[in-house]
Amino acid sequence: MFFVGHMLVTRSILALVVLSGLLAAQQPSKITGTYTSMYFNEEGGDLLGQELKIVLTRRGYQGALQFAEGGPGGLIIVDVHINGNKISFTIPETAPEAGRFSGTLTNGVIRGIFSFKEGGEEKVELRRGKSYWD
Amino acid sequence: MCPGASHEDQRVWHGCTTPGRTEPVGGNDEGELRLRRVGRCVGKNILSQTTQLVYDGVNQAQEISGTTANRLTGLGIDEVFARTDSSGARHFLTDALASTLALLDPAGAFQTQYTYEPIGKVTVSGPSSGNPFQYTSRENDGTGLYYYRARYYSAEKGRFLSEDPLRFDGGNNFYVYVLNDPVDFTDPLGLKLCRIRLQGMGDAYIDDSIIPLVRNWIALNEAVPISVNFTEAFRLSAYQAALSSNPNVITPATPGSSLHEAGFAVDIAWSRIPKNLRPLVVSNAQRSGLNWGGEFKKPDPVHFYYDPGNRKQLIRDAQKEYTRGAQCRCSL
Repeated sequence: MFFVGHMLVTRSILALVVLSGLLAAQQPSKITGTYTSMYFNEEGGDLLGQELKIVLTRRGYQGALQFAEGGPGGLIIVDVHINGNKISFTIPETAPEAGRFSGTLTNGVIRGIFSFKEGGEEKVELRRGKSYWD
Repeated sequence: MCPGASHEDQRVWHGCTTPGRTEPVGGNDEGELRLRRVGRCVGKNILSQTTQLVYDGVNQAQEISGTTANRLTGLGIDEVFARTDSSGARHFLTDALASTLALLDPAGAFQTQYTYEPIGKVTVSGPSSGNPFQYTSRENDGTGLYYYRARYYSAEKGRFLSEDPLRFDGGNNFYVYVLNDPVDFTDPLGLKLCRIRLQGMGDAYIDDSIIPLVRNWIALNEAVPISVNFTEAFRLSAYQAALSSNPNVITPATPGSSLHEAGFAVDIAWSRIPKNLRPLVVSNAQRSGLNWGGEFKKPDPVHFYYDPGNRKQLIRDAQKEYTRGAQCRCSL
């Protein structure tokens, strides 16, 4: 009887440890910062990619988003929603790139898909680091 | 000349038998002008002498008129090394404007020689030659007129023969050649930087020699229908330099090397085109005569362009034209 009770406690502790580890792994260590995939294509002379700077504001996380498809587009301010390691935001109708982003933020990398209102989709990987413009 | 205004005036001229969309160059009914097919002449009938012409890109590679004359051309526009006809091979000695100064025989001896007034009026000395490529390496048609692809130019008058159909939108002078600065400029296409409205951008500038290509591309896309938004066109070199200011790039691109700076490239909002339609957008562009940056070693899928060669010169000309406010307004 004592043996069965001991096993139960041990398993419960083990389960708690594993669960807390999983939760810790899902929670991004740091959310704010600059995430970018922007680069210069020398052959075409074009700037390509996306860049998102996430900051904390009184209304929660907000991001300054920039697309580059040839040249740099105008800055778009978005409300960034974080849930565990999930990240999402809506790109307002006023922007040419109106649509939605959903993905994950893990180990300083945002991976996900932009779904544009016009119909296109773009799979992206934005890495935390210096801004292209720094 | 900016294209777009004379398209109603289509007719078939003598000597041009190649099928396809054609349009006249020039504008009178004297029967001595040419057809062009998507910007290229395919034949000419001058003073009852018919000549068929074979092109390699924008450069003429062969003339067939009873006998055949072949040209050895370079990659640049109007870059020619040699011409061979029934008299034998002749090598070209040219100046900074690419005007032919002399023809040399295979032994290096001077044969036909050319001297020019600043606006292109030529004096020929030495043995006669059938070589038409003279001032700025453009074709002297033997009528005192040079064929500058989009328009004829009179070297006697220093003016284009036909007026700019855009009238005052293209400037106050409808006939002016290279802004009256023939020592600094050439105009191998007889064309200008054009201000146009591109969907997604509003006003933008491109060289008007690619306007027919872009127009056709848009029409093919709209027929599907696919709505393509443009993001970039002509760029000033200073802006081009700022784009490549990433300090992490070991060898940033040098301004003065992008076709955007010459007005020969446009970019589109590639990511907003549904994936299943993207191959169609590319094939429509290629059918229209544009090339695609997605085929670069490091793909640039937003980039569509036409490369006429001689990029540095075209960039210099376009930058000067823009700075001088010499653009004309064109429509797609």
